[in-house]
Amino acid sequence: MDSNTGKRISAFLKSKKLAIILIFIIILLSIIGTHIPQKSQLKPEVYNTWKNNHPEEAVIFEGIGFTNLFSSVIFLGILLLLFISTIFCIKTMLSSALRRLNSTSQFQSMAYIKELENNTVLMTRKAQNRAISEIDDVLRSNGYRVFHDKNRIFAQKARHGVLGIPLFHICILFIILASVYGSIGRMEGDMRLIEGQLLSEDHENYMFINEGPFFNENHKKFDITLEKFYPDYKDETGTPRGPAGKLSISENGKKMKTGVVYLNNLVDYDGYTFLGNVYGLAPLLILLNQDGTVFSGSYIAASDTDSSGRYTAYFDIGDTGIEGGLMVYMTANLTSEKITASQTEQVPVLFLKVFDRGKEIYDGTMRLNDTVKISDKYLGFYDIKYWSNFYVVKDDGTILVYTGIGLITFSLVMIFFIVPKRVYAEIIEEDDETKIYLGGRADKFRFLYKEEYCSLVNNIKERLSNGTD
Amino acid sequence: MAQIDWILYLTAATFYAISSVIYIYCLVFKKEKKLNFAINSALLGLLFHSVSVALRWITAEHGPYISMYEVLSSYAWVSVALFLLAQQKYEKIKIAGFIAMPVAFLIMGIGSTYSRDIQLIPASLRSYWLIAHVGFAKLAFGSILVAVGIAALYILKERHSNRSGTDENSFYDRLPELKVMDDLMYRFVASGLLFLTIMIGAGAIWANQTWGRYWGWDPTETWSLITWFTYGICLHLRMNVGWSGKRIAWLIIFSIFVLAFSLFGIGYVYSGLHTSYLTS
Repeated sequence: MDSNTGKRISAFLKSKKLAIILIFIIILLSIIGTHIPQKSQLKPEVYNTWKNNHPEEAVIFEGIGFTNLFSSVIFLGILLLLFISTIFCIKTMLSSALRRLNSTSQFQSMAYIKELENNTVLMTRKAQNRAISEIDDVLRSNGYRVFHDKNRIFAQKARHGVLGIPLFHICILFIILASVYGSIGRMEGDMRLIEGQLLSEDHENYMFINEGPFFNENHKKFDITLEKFYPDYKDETGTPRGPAGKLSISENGKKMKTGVVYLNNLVDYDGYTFLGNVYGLAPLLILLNQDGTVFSGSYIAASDTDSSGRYTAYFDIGDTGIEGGLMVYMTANLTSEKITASQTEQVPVLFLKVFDRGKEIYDGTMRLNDTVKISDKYLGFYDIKYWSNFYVVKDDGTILVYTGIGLITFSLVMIFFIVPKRVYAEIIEEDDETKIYLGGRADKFRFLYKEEYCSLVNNIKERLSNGTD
Repeated sequence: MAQIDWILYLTAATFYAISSVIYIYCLVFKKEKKLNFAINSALLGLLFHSVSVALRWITAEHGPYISMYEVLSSYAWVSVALFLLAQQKYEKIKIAGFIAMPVAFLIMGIGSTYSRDIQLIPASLRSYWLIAHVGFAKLAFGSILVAVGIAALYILKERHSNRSGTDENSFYDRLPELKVMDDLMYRFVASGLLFLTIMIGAGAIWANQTWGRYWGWDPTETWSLITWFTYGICLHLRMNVGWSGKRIAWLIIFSIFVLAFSLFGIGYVYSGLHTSYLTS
């Protein structure tokens, strides 16, 4: 590649119009993405319904990747081009900003000053040195840094504002990189815990898990316990917070952290975030031998709900050939508070169907501590607890993205509200009076700066007219 | 109390309507001296409106961000308040109220068609980030609405100057210079972009706390990004490509439709995580 081709490519990537075109394409694609159903945002059954109803469109859109538009090659390619273009632009912006930042003294002659949008000629009877000193005073009291060179003055303020634009673009790159870094190393999954149950943070203990390519099975394997579940939690101020689970996290048997998870209140530990999710009831069913010894038993998380909102589950008992379905509900609304005598008693009711090798052997209702004879054994309903799924996320990019958002906000403040302003003056002594050529300009909002400049000139005028030399 | 806040709301809307009529009258018939009546009407309206919003806040025990009635009422409140502050600082642009006040009145009118029943705040919305998120959305809308008012004035003044030259005593020539108006709309759009950025940032943090991800390409999120890009392009064109004056003024006027759709229209077109909050 010869140097001319390199320069042309560089000029193309640096082009301000290219950035606008790319952003415009991103806007168009985003609008398309909000109109075409996106697989990543819909439940599979909803997506499939759309697909069945619009088979022809689905084939076309799936073919060009528009049903996963925001992770499609086209969209990511445009983003990549914008990313590269931004890098090229930053190089130019940064060198220009640093040059302007470091050039502290830009003394100008009256010819230059006269060309500025804001310029004034003042006359005073004060001597040149005294006039310079008075102007210096006024400028300093207005927040300017003032420099002198013989009969010329250069003053500036908010000079760091020049860094705003490069910082803004660097922040955009930073946010993109942080989100890419976060997503490739991200892990998210659902972990189901029954009250009192302890599970290790390990791949096989997640009901559903999605690991980014760079996560590398890097599970921390600390222990998580659901100490208590509250279907209608109220925080310390008495504010209702909805369902909540009190989690404790321990390592090597030592409790490291305890926290209550509810909507907008997470538990964070070692880069992992625990969010509340669905919950339900888990009855304890125990199969007893005829002599009363335990044959088998466990809490069965009734995780499906029927049309009446009652929790249902299917279960089997080891290799006995016994299997069944249950439906459980409480005779009162689920509550964390103690039931008082005046309220409906909160009693769990279990509807149970049991099959032995496909043959129905029991169909009835059970209450707590009831037992029923199943073949040569007894099945007892001895306890009930809550279960809850926790959505567990590990995304190391999140804090970086937040930092990027904070910095981008700061950079916008720098760009638009820390506007560099410069004042130039040349002071010439003529016969019995001193002539001052004064001019000022702001990097942005130049015509709005006029008001500030006029007030500055008035202050200078006032100072020059006070007293005699 | 609910009835009182509604009466105050209607009173405020009436004053906004009066203010709008006077503004339009002043613009059409070039009666600059009558502008004070328009401003005073707007101020009176804002006073009643403030009490209405405050009473509603106390009664509902949450800020104005749950039902559409509250949301639209607070958007109108912020827009009027920001406009009155802006015209206080830049006195020459007070006629820009001919855009700001009718829009505020229109928002109040649409708001009045929604249910005024007080809705309990869902647990998912109990977050300080939500307050920052919706608060900055309202500030962004208010800033950009003021910019649109100035942009419209810019176009009218420029058209007048091209047609009849300058005359110091004419209505349009007592407006700020075109270059100053150009700077003013630039400044208000810049403020709007800053507020939009904070709105999106606060929304991202809130989404992460509620759903475990800061960005999910939900239609509302996507449209907020589209809006941010739109104003980003607008400022980029102004700062780096040399667009200014009439072209930027038209772009600002066009862009508010994108913003308005993003803030108010999404819920009626798309279904998504946000939409149940945006239509009731």
